[in-house]
Amino acid sequence: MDNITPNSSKEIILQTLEEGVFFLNSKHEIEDEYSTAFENILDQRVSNGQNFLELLKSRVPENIINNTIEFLNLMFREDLDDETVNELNPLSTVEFHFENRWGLWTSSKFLSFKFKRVIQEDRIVRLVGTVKDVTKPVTLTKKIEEIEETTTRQMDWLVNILRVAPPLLKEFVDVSETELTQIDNEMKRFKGTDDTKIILTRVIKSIHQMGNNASLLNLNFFTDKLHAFEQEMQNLRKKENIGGSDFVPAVIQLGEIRQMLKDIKNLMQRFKHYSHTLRPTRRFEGGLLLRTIENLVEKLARELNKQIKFNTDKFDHTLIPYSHQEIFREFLIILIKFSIFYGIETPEDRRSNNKKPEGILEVETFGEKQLCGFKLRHDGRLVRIERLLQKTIEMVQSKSDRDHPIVSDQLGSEVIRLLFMPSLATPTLSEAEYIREIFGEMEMVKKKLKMHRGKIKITFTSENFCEYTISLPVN
Amino acid sequence: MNETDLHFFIDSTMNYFEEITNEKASAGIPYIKDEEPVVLEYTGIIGISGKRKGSVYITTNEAMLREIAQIILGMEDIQSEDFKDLVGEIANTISGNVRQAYGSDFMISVPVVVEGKAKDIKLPDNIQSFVVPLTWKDYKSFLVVCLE
Repeated sequence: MDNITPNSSKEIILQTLEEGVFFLNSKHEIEDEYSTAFENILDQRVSNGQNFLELLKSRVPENIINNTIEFLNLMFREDLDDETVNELNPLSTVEFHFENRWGLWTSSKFLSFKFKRVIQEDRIVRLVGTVKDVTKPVTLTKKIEEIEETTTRQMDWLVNILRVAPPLLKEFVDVSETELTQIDNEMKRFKGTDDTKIILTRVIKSIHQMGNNASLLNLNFFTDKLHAFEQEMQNLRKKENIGGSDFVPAVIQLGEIRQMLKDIKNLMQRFKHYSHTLRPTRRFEGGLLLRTIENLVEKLARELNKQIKFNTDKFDHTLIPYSHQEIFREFLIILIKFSIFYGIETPEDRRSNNKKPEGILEVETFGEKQLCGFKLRHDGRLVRIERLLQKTIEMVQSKSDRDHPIVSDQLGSEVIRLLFMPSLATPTLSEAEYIREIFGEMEMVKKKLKMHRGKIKITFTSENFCEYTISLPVN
Repeated sequence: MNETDLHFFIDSTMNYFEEITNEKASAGIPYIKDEEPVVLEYTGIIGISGKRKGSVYITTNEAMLREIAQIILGMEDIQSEDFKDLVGEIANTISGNVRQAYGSDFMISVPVVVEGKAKDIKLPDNIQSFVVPLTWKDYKSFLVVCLE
């Protein structure tokens, strides 16, 4: 210890301190003694006499630099109280920005500076400054705040999501992502000369489709977002001379929707390992199938101002093998949509035809050794399409072998083609759009039906009765 | 990033063209940037930090820069360096205007210029980027905005 002079002791202290320590004169210059940690924390070399504010340049925003100048000047004023001035310290927690060699921001550090006056003979001769790296606690606090915010939002989502069977939710996310990609592609392909209204119509159609799907699964948080967006696009479509800038709200909201889907996927991923305990039983999933179609009937009846009694007493989902539930769900949704839209009349129409104001829609499942399926009946009017269908069936029947089943695969596809052909029943534009939507859905289902060697049959026994039968081989 | 932010950048770009060249540019339909690169022959990039972080860049072709340079500088003999300066200047002006609107806690870097069709311009992965196609006269260019 003999060879340690007071000077070198100070140096050792300055070299070993974990805190950055430095001194500033009244010109805000760094005096020659400062701790090694000071340079390390700032990630830059410091030279004696260097102006402290130089160290802040390009590291912190201009307003903080201006406030620091003012604050340091106040620190040197003897007529002001030290503690009071310190409350104005703009560097008490400050984000230091670091750039790459191109000058582009790459990372940040959060630093905490404190300043004390050094007084000699009742005069403030300099300031002693200390700096600590508080990145970890600051980022941790921010992260906790973010998590809290996300958790609050996602808890509401979870209430919705956990009610939906995982395969249905996955399908919903996949289909929605495909729709969003289509929208992105439409927007990307836009040439200045194109009609923006055509693009808007396509965007609205996709969003409407996604909204319907979300509504069927009772994903209210998503439905609300999509409906608000669709409404905004409808309003935009009414505008004359739509320019590219008018699409700014659309593209921002699409970004938010994409982010929501990403969050849903993350939630699904996080809950994947709970799938064995949280996954609904197959019996429960069968119940979900029924609940989905009940929701659909209720929603469509409300939207179309129709009164419908939906009879599901003969619907036994256990008769449908688990592997077939998805395709049955798709068929049910499409046929229900069609029956309510075209078949079942409004209470006023029904009264004028001497019918009860409440229409009847019934679904019944059946299962045999090698065949399973469902029948969907309604007591609404027989529309022109159905009459055409009857003729088609008769026509195909007369051409077919007498021993052959009346409704063959070929007929099934012909029936579906006619049933969902847009040109056959498009009294208004909205109906035309609606039919096109169903037609699009039907294309996929048709392929699936063919793949599963399934059959469709349509029966009319009176002017007030129409029954669709869908059957699939069990194996 | 919200609607106002994107509008600011688009308006600022439109203003630049109109003020400098007396000829309006038009913005196409913006879209979310995916993996497909958006890079033309000259690109001017500005880094943004402070309260908001991200990048903004404008990318265009030599022909458009040549015509703008002729308008601004009245020069016929324009070199590659001039194109680089010009595209950097455009990016800087756009960001500078936006900075004026956002205040002094919005930091912008000096422009970084990329010459030639790079594979793509690296943008922060965790922030959505928006592409705005621009047309000035018959020339195409793109404004790409990535801001948290």
